[in-house]
Amino acid sequence: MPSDPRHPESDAPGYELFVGLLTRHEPALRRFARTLLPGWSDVDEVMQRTALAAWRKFGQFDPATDFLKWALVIARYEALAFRRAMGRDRLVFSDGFLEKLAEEAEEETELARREERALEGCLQKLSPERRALVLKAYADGTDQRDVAAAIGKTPAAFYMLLARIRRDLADCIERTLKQEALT
Amino acid sequence: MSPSIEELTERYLRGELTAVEVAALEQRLSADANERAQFRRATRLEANLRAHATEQQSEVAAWSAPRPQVEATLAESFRALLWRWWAPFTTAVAVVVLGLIFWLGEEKPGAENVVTTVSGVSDPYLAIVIDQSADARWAGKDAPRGLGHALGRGRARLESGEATLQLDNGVELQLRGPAELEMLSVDHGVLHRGQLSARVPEGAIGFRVDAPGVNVVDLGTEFSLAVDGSGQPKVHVFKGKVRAALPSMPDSRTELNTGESARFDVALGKVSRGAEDPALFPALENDALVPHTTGDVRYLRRAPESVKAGTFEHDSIMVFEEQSEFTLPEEVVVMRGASNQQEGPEPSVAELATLPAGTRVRSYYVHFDRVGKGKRDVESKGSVTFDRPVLGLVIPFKTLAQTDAWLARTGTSYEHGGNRLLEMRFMGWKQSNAQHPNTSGRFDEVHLGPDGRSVTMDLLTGWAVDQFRVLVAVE
Repeated sequence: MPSDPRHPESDAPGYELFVGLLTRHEPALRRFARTLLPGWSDVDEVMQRTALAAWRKFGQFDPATDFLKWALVIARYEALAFRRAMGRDRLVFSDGFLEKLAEEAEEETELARREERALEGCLQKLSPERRALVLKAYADGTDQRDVAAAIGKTPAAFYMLLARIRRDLADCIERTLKQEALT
Repeated sequence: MSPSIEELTERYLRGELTAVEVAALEQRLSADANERAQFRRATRLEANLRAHATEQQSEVAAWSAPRPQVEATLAESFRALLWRWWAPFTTAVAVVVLGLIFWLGEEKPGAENVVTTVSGVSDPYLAIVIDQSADARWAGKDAPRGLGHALGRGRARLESGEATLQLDNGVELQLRGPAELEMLSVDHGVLHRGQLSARVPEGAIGFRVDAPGVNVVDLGTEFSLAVDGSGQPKVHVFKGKVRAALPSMPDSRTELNTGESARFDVALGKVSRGAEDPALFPALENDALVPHTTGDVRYLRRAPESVKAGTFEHDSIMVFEEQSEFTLPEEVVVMRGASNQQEGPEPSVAELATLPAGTRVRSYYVHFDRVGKGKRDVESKGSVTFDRPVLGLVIPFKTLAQTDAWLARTGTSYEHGGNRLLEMRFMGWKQSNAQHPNTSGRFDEVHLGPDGRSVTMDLLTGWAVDQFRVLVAVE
């Protein structure tokens, strides 16, 4: 089944499959990259490099195996290479620590997927105002200081409010996963 | 006192830590596996929130991954594939700020959060219109637009006709216009005027409807409430028990049982028990023959005008009757066995059966087309139980198309293209024979229950529309 049958498909061998697999696993790859990198622009850069590298190596990929696991190895390599290129000027963790984080994050991909699913329901449990606020604060390209100014709060007060909402969401996700484990 | 890991992580994610603070954070995380787990959890939550927020921004954005013909264009190709993460910073900020100004200017701040789709379904919602008479006319900005459409928090006016609403807790409301209903939550509504009958299932006991000056709490029943301009709301109990009271007068609390009625004089603070003609209240349909649903499944008492992809979008699964009785002119292969578990070394083979030509069937159509389109799947699950045995399920591709010609409901437009899908694990893809799940990596599941009359489903859809047919025995 094509991942999006309404869009034109390439004739390049394996391209349709690659695009489908990459699209399906992009959220997981992005989550992984965010654990390792200090900013979203860094994550975007590493995601693009990962996609390119994965496409170049796709001929080596065995479709009977786990694409995400395979792609995470590439993403990890690209993230560490990116970090090394940043040198000493950037506020990033050391190579050794990043390796440790990456190793642990790779083992949590299933947990991360379940958390993502639980988040949808937990967002619905927020009041409409809080839900709108948190989604605006995390929308792509948003500067949270601008959001704070727009609603008449200082950045510090706004960050505290966001922290409370995140805590509520995290608690809800944890409860949801515990409940799922019991059923 | 040293800052918490939560606080440090938030500042780290905002890029506010100094080099010294980053090094200290690393040292702390290196030494404590629990704090490292908290850190990873926080980064995952941030990433997931960003994904949700950005998906809302560009829910129906068309994206394409152009063909990478030469290496030099690969970078451009994948930039296009991941385009929505490259939205210009200034434009995005302007959109957010304008959106907030609009939000703050609204009387009801929550309204800005409502997503209106091409089918006019608003989210979040509390109830769905599962039936309405031909002369039903809705009015008001918060009113549903018609059959299959949703009612959220807010007032809805039914100017004429009758309509049946099903709430998310299973409560069924029959409304007779002219009427004005306001749902405050799934357990509490206000009938400002008009007539309403309610059927409250066991799990929703305590459901409350207020009329001006009167509170009515269900204690396990079918009851009616009528509000006219007389200032004397009337309550009648068809079955079970309700408790009604004038909130300004606690002593006015009255319990009414099956067949009993009362009139509440709000001005005088008086309650008068006495028979009211049940015919004055909208009748609830005999539900013995109506399929019973659970979870996110809704049974529409009337077929929608269209189930073409994109024309009837909802985050619930809709079921409606197509043909009440039809004799199959040819044999039809149906699926009877359970669809397959998500994991396991091999997908099991579906149990198939052949219904011979001449089999008399009643057909129902199952339709799930998520609100908006996006590469993230929306999941909906529940069950439908029929009053007769299920003969089998007709699933995409070939057999569903085969039966369209005979069983499709006249007056309803159907989806016939490749967008009509189910992604079940045993279904092979013609080229590679590999299973192709939904975008999330999970498969749709449809099971026939051991009682032979129920169909349980767990469907996911992102771009396509999930549809199939249920054939039920006539005798």
